[in-house]
Amino acid sequence: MATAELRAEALLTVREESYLLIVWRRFRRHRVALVGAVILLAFILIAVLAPWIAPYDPYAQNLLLKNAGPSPAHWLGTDELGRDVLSRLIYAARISLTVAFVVTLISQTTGALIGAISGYFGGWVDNVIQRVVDFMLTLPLLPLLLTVSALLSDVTLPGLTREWSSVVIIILVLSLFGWMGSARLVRGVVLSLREQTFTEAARALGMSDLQIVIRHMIPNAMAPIIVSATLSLGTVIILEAALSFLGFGVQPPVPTWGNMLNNAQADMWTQPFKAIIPGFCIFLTSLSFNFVGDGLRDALDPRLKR
Amino acid sequence: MINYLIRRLFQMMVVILLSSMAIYAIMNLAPGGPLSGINLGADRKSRLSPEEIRRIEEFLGLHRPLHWRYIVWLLGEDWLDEVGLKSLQRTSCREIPTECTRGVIRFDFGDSWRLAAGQKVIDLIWFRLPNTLLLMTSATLLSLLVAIPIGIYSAVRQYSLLDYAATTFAFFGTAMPVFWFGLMMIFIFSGPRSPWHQVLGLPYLPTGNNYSLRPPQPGSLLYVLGATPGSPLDRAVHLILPTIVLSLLYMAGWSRYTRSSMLEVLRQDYVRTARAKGLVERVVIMKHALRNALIPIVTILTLEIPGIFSGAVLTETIFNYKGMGRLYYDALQADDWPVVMALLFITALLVVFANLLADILYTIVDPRIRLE
Amino acid sequence: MQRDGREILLEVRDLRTYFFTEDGVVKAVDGVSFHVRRGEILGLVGESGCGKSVTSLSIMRLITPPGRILGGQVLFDGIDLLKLPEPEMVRLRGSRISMIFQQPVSCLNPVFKIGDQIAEVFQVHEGLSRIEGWKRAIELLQMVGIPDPERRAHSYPHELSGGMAQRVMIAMALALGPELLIADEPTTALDVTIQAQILDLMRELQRRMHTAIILITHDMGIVAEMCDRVAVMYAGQIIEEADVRTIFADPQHPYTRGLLGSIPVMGVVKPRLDTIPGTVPNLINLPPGCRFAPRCQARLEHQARLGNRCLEENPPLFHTGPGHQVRCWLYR
Repeated sequence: MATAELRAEALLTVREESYLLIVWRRFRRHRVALVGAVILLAFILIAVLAPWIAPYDPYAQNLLLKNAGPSPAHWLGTDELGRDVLSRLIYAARISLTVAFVVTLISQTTGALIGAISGYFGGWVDNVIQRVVDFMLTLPLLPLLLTVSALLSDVTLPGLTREWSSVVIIILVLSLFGWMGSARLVRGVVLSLREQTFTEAARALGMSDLQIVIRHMIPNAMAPIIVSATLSLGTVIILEAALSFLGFGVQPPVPTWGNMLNNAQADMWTQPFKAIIPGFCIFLTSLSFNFVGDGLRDALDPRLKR
Repeated sequence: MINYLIRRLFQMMVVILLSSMAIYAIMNLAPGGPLSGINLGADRKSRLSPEEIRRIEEFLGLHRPLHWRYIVWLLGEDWLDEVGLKSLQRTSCREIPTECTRGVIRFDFGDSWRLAAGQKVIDLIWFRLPNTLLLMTSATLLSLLVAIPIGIYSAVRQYSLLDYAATTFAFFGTAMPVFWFGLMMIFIFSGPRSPWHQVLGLPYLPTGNNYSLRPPQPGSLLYVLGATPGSPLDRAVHLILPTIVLSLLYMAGWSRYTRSSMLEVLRQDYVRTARAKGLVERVVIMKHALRNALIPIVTILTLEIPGIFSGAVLTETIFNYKGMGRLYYDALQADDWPVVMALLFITALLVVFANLLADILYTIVDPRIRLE
Repeated sequence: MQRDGREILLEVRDLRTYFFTEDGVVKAVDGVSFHVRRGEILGLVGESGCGKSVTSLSIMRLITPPGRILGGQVLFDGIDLLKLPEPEMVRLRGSRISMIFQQPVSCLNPVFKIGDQIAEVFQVHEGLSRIEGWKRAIELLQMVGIPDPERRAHSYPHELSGGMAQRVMIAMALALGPELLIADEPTTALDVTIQAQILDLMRELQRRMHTAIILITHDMGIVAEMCDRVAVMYAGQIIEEADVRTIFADPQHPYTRGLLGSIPVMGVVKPRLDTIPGTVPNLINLPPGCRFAPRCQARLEHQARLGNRCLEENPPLFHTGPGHQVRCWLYR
């Protein structure tokens, strides 16, 4: 009798698995996301290992070999100052990815904090923050980014050269306009959690408001934040490239895919690959971030936590 | 309704006023002030002396405190002597009466500094506006024509081959850098120089400007159509590539909106009721479901109008299309701040009015919503 | 097709409707058979999630992916609806078989006036113009007891109360005098007083129009008040079927007894139980034996006689009296 009951019991209970394992299993099923993840990993590896992979110094000019086509020495030829295009592409991955990650880190964290404060305190705080978020979300992003970067384009930060200042400035500008999405997201989560019992319990245990927000609410909002951060990485890559392409972003000689594309425009018909490749890198990274974000969204679906 | 509109108009005025302050402050508080770039790139001979710069500042009224500059920018300066603030007027205002009656409130954004020095900014904008409206309209129409049917199909046949294709297309569209896509389009459709034209026989399209300046090249689409330079047909053909490039992002986004909105609606009880009533599937989808699915779509589309304007900056720049977007880029390049401020201000107006329009449209498409 | 006097209108045989979800195959309806006679009210009873609604939607062929009807027959007036071409099925819906649902307000399309929504039935099935349809709609609104129908026809669904909306749904469903009305929990979402009014309205119209009704509910009170016969569903199967008197006088399946709130086992009267312990089994990983076995008190009490059979083999339906069937090993 006991065995029979145990058997019935076993059939009725779903096997317990660790959350991460379930997420990974779901993510793996999303083929394109997996491909995206592999591509991103490759780009990240290239970016990290740039000094060892790049055949030349990306800043080294060779004025005797300007605008050269592909050769065994320079696989992708050289640019208008005789710098090795392949090496610049590799270093550009470094800059573009770093900008994307730092911007996302800053904007998502700020956004999460602002959203948590907005949702947790409610009342006029929430009202004011939401008005600001609403307004900023309706503002057309690109003209603003262009204006602010153009205004700051002559600024040189202490201890940095002008072109490296431009990298820092572009990070700040992109962060300034990128926090609204995650603020709104986290606010939503916090609002729905605020009424729940564990919040009451935490308060009864004497936790302060800030502690409750940081210890309980933000971890609960982690899954949507991760998804939104991944998707934001893709957007930031494109925005940075657009600004650099138009000449208001990262300034040469620091290589980014955007400003390389700008330089390659002139020779588009004679050496099209010099324009095709940097643009394709932008496209591929952004696409991969989008794929991975989509895969993560499916994998982290809250329905899992049944 | 009337009450709502009055309250709403008041709110809009406040928002516009605040944005104008923000715009003015940002532009004038930039490190070094608005004239900071004036000597950049100038050689020793053409370099301006501090005395000359002071004269320019007096002429432009930059010697006044920031808040007065802002007020004058907004309201003009003809009223200053009436309230006993004659000292704040510029000399030019005292000499030339028309110089006094300016200000944003009269739709006068001052004169361009660099791009078309001495011309009124507003004239530059009026000249460019029709081109931008044309491009925005054609791109919006193309996006809608592609996105809505794709979105509906994807929702109705979820997980079908075409749905997967549409999903992939949407991913590509969102991830595509507009400027690179534009360059590739130019590369592909630029006729004799393009291998795509030579080998695959893809059409030879105009890749820049709003209309032809010279008779069309043999072999180009313009030549085949026999379009005379400057004719409506000529202008239409010039719109083809910018329209496609500007549309891509919106096609991708809006087909997703339509799909998810439609999927949401198809789950609703009233769709089941419509089927249970004995309606054929076509009527269930195109009447009962679509009508509801359009409610959020209409709002989103309206709110994206200012965004299309901003997307046009990149597209117009790449195709050298003489619209407001290109003007914006040129003004930024040339540090022509009055033009930049005017365009930003107009964008802010556009945002505010798009918001109002969205609210009003919402009440029209959704009987459950009443404005109060 | 005569059985027990009255003609059989609908006969469902071995209906199986599964949902193919990412987590596995949900056997929502797994071999359901029952019949409805003309002019009769059949109660279909069970807890939520037992497959009542899926059964009714399967009859209407309104199952949407990932659900699929895998087999069985739905004989309506001698025609197998599952084999009918879609255009003919469409013509049948809303004219000969119609349906009302649980959440009346959300079942009406929020963007159309209710007059238009009712008129649409006439436009589609009888080819009337919008104006003629609208006229008929007003008559119907009058019939279902909506005051000031001319003005009400111009209302949008959100302007109606739940009870009003359900009256509109009933008007729409009965517009063309269908032979069968499927009412899926029609009063569950309504206030108790309104519930009674709606049930009265349904019974009155049913008598007048001689419509057969499948009344889906989990409320045994409503069953007692409204139904001629009862079929009890559990985990995708019918586990007991009898006329309404018999069900209340002699409920046989332990689950039915549980539903009725008491568990008298073999003459021994036990204290009343408020709930049946446990929950409806996961329809993906069904136990191999009787689906109620894991929750069944009677099984433990009759362990000696039944052995492990309940856990190993799903019982068939056993005839225990005229028109009385039960799916339980106790009645073999």
